[in-house]
Amino acid sequence: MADFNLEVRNLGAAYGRHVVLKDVSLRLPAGEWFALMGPNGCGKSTLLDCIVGKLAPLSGQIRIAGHPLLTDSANARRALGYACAPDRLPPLLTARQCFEVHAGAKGQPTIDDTVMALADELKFLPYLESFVDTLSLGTRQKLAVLLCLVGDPKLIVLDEAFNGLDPASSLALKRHLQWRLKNRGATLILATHALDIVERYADHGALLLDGVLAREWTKSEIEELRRNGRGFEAALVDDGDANPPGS
Amino acid sequence: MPVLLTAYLVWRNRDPQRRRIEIFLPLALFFAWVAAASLYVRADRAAVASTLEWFHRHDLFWSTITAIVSAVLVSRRRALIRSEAPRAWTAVLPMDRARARWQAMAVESVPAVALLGMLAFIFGGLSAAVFLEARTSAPLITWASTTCGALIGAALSYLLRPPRQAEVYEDSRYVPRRRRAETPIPIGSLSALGSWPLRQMFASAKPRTLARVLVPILLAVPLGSQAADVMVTIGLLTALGAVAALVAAVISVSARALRWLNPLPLEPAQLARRMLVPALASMLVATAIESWLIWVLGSPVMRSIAAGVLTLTVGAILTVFGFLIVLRANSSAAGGRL
Repeated sequence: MADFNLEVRNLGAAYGRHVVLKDVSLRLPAGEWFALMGPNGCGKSTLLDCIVGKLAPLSGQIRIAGHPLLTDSANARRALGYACAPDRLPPLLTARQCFEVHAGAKGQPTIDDTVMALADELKFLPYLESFVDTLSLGTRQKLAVLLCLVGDPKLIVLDEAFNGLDPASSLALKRHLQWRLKNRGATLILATHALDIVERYADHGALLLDGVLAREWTKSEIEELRRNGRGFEAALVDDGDANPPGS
Repeated sequence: MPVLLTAYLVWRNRDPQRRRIEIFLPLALFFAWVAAASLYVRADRAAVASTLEWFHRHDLFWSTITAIVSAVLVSRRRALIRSEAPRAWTAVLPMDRARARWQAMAVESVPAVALLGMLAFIFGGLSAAVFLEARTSAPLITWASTTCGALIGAALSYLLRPPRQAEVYEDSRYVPRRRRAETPIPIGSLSALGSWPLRQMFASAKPRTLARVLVPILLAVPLGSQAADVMVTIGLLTALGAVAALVAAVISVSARALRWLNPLPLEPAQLARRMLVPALASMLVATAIESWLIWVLGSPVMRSIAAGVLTLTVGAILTVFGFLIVLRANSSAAGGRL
């Protein structure tokens, strides 16, 4: 049993000669909602791409639920749930076929009841036989999130996953994620610009600036921000002034 | 007469050029039709007489068909107009019920009137031409019976119940409902990956693309060719096109599938087997059809089979190499892993 669902050590990444991430380290225990914040182009999506194995890092190590991503890729990926961008979903497959492929790839005989219950709560079940191509952006976003939860992942990676969701679905998803962190020992890493979500739901937050983790907030610090009403917006602006991008 | 007057003014306020076309085009077509029918009657009186006799023998059938068409058209228009009537500006005008009803009926029965006009157009011209040349009244009787059919159909349409209006469609996402008990839970399987390239192949065969491909083929057919040969040639090129489209579909779909499935614990060999086997099986069917069509065109059996095998081999090699190149590109981006 691993103590941490995600361990990132001294991670570096680049696109060609353009270095995006420099010496990033993270340790996320089970049951933690981690919010990754930062301005556009700071490297949030690159960090997530490295974690889910879409991009090969220049340096450093990544372990998911105790399995090294590089050397024990199959087990690491089995413990990983990643909600891809809606435009990455296969346009000519039905939503049901997407579920079947995800379950088949993760060696699951059927879809977990909790995922089907969430699909029902998100009003997604009527679209199960629809082709992805015919779904609206918000419905595709729901499908991407539901697919990421197939196979009871230990590490859930969401990149701006609440964009395009209606308020009721957004709330249902947040509650489900909280339940999953508490009862299934999962860890959530969410890259977002929605500071209200961070204030209300996150246990741990970090600000990525120019490829380095410029600032981290612990659970008690987030609670303090919430309590004194100062909020993340002011905290981030203060940090941004202290470390302006490109300085 | 507000309802009828409104309908007339709507027509009157249209673009004058369009209005002129609506008046003069039917007249021009009518005279052209009379002239063509006269020429045809003069050229082959016996054939025309037998055709008219055949129509006359089936008067009951034609009048029944006309009655059904008339009933459906009037009924549909009635349903449409009645759904729009409460929102129309004439709804607020003070009109007594009887007057409103007959005016609405006049507007609703426009399709029947148009049908009567069309019958008059066809049979009037034909009757005139035939009467001048052949002195037979058969088309007049057919015209009368079909006209009666149209009138009876329009009258019967008022006996049909208009469709009920639905305020919110059944699967509206804004209507809260419980999960349907019959929704079967998806079962883990990778078989859907096999159907994706085939769907992509059919999706790429858009009607406009097919038309663009077909026109040069038809133009290239030498004069004097038989229709059967042309059909077989088009079939042969379709089979070859299907193989080419399938190769392209497998390559493009495998690139998308690898990007989508990258974070999943899926072995490249597993993905290749699931994606390539159905595509290669379809290619085998297409090349078998190709061999058969080549044989139909008159080639010896062995040569036909050799052509099919050659196409299959080239298609299979391109498909597999294309897949491997895409796999390699994705794998190198992900640091040597799928």
